[in-house]
Amino acid sequence: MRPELIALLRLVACCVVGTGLSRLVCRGRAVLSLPESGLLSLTLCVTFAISPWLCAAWAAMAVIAGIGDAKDRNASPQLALSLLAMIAVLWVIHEAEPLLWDEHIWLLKAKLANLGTLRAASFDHRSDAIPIGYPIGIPVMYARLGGDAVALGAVLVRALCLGAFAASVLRARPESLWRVALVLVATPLILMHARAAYVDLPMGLLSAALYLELSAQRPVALRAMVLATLLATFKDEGVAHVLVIGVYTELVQPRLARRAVALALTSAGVAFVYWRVLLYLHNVIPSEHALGRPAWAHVGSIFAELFWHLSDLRSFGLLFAATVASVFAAIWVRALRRDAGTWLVLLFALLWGVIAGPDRVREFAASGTLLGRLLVQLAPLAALLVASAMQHFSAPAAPETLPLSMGIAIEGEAAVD
Amino acid sequence: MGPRDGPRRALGDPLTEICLSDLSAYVSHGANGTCGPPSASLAAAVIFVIGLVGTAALWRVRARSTIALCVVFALPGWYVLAVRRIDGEPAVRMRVEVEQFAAAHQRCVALEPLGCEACDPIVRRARTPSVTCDHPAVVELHEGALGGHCVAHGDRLVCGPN
Repeated sequence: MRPELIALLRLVACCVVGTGLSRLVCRGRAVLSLPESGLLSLTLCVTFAISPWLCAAWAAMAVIAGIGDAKDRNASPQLALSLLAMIAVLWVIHEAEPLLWDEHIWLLKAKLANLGTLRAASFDHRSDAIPIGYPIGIPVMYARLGGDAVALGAVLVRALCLGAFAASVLRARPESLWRVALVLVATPLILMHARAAYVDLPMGLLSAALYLELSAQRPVALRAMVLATLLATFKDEGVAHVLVIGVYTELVQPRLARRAVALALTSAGVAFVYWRVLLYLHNVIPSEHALGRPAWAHVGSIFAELFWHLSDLRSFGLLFAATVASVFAAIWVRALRRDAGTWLVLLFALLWGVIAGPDRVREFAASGTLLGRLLVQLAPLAALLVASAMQHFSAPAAPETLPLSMGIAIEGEAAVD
Repeated sequence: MGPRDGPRRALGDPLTEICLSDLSAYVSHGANGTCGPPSASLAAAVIFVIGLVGTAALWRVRARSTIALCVVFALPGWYVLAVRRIDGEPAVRMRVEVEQFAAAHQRCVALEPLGCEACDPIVRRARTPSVTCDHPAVVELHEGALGGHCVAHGDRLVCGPN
């Protein structure tokens, strides 16, 4: 059988199994869209690849989440046709032969995941095949979907992440969907990453989806858990995304999303800590991402480097100029403050990893191989902010002067039933 | 994470320059920016400020037109993506040759980097899965190997310029 067909069959199986499981734990309610169902199955695959115990713990938390989510009245938009369209587009534009540096590394790891040796190789000091200590979530997903055709698996993972993001926007801000899509398409580096087997764009999409989920009036804990756990198993900075979004949500709207925030933080935290414990038990010290004393002397150069990335016209077009304009606008416009605040805090959290990280990370930043990719992770959230600003200024009667609680109520009414 | 300490590319005219047309630069820096990592440029800073002020001004008069402004600012990047043509054939050829060499030596292969930095991830992927052994066959990666050929000499695969 052709590898493309096998990959598609695996995707269908993932979506069907995920739908069945989510309905089982949520007493028959369809709380996950099709791409989110696929991601649920893959979350179980990823946690199982790390450890069956972690998978069991995650499943137990999912059951707890599902008991509460069963009361949720907002059905999830079904995106079967949209998902197919996304797959088709990504399939057409993706690079038939991966060429970029990290593409080879991720696909190499996926090859090992197919052979069942990725976890062991991640702890193996003697092996020079892959850098040891890095989280294994995304290569496991590539392998589970693509089989031997791991590059196709990468296309399908990107499609699922894009689908999950689209579903979140449709639920929370249906009127902004096309604006968000156009802003992202008008960001050339995003198109570049949509073609390639990199992790930064999927991370950014899941991060923005998690933000929208936890900002909702009645967030679905199971969705938040899936998104948060995958973020934590993709890359170490994924935990920063989850922490910032979760803690910021709790600070901005205390109690409203507490259950979902708690389960998202717990599930991501357990996955992250479990992996770190495994590293410790195998004497692997992930020194490349360890935080230490801040290198204050480098702050100026890091911010200068950040500015040159933000103003890189050919990579980001107008995206970050408009984002900075939106951040300034949020000083006066209450409706934009939450989006702007989250984007800004997340940016500073990721920069803190550079400032307080080891010298090697700052060398990467200085040579231009780091900040651009961190900005790709922040791009979907930035697109949401810019689209919100456009929406607000297009409709002068928008709730500029309404209290935050009113804004949330309006957002809730807009959710898709 | 990417190449260890790749040289910074000098930024030319930000509107017309076609960049990363060399395979080695593309492999190393293609994901860091449409034209690789940016360098300090007064023109880029001015364009950024124009974008920022233009967006804010548009919001006061016609916010719906922001999308049009986004499209205008995306044109240089889209142009680069559309006209940049990387010949990836040498990379594919190298991967296949190393894969065949590794298979012929029971996947016991060590790498000897001798100046071809961009070859590293390609060859790593090609020789995987690898096994550790006492006397591994060796793949030599000379500077310029990405545009050349690999020739087997017994237990050595020498990759270098033609």
